[in-house]
Amino acid sequence: MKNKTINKQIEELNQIIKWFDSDDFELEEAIVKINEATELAEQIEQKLEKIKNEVTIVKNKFDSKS
Amino acid sequence: MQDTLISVSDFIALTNQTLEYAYPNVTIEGEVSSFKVNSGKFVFFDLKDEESSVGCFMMLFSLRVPIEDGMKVIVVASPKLTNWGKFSLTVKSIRPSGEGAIKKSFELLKQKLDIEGLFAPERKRSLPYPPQNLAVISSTQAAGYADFMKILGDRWGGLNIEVASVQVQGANAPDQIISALGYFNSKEDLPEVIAIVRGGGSIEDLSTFNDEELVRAIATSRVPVIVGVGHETDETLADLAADVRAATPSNAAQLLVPDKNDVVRFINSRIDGALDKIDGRASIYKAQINGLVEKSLKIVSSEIESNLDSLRLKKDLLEELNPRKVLKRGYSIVRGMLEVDGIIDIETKDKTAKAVIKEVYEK
Repeated sequence: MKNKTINKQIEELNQIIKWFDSDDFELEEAIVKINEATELAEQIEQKLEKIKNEVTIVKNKFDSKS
Repeated sequence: MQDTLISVSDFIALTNQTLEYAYPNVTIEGEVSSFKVNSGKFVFFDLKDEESSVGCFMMLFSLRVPIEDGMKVIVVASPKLTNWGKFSLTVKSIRPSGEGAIKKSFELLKQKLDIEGLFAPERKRSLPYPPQNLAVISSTQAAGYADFMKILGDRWGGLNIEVASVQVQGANAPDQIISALGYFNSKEDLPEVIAIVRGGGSIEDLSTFNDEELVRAIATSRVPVIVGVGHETDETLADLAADVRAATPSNAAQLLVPDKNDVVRFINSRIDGALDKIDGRASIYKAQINGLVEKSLKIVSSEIESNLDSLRLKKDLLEELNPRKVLKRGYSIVRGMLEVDGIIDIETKDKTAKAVIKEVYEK
């Protein structure tokens, strides 16, 4: 399974948190969702700590206008 | 050679051959005068100093910076004798020389491009924050690039960064940067942002970023462009044409991605907010339940009380109807048949008696 990008995970977390402010808020469902949110937040935090940027130097020579 | 007979044309051809061999390219500094453009294509001007002057010619498309009379310039040219015997320089490139000329040229071009609308605020596009796929155009040998990449890496992770290494100063720099822009803009998977960065430098060093063609390429890029060139106080036309201007390469990194520590803090504060909401709702429910229980208890208690009152009333009534109570009030109970010579039993409060009936009357 391909890991979701950090951006996608943050977006997912934002959607869960948004639900808490919506009219759909229900206490029983909130317990489930807070657990989801907490787990997602932990994953994001760990990823941000560990993950590096992937840098590629383009092999092309840019000697003149293309 | 002196005694060899040659034609005028041959002489001119030979002279040009000699010139080409001896001076394939010359770099000359001088002042512009008699500048004019013919037929919208051909540029003519004289290049002069205090004592001498030489005619210059170039094609308009090669003129990358605005030039006007009185401006000090540096030309790269090759000398030539025309078929009519006129000596002139065919200019390959020209650039303003000295701070005054560079500033003047900058102002002229800025005004021209501003009127065309290249710097209009409506053209600016917002950048994804943070991007996932980033293209960088810079010199990988330069300090500005190193600062940019370090700050990017400290602040955020998981980016896919493609770097086009180019010259960021000198005569070849504008064309190389334009070529790199063209490369990224023609990719099948376009990057989300192109960042053009270089560190501080002299006004001549940064003149690359005032090249008209480069500025136009930035303005017409399909992909949004952020430019972080020079120091905070430096302003180039590339800055003005970009979608986002960063003061420095470091600032460009700060504008592109958030600080992950701030993001973590923000996420945790939102989770806390959600937990508070759960606590709040649970407290409301608890209070509601307590209220309901109390109300129910009151109702039940009231019912019980009411039933007890009713029961007491009935008890009092029964007490009143009790025969023993009637006897206590002085009455007696008579048992037996009411007929002459009949025997009856009489019960009072504290005695019982037997009696014979002597007479019976209708009331």
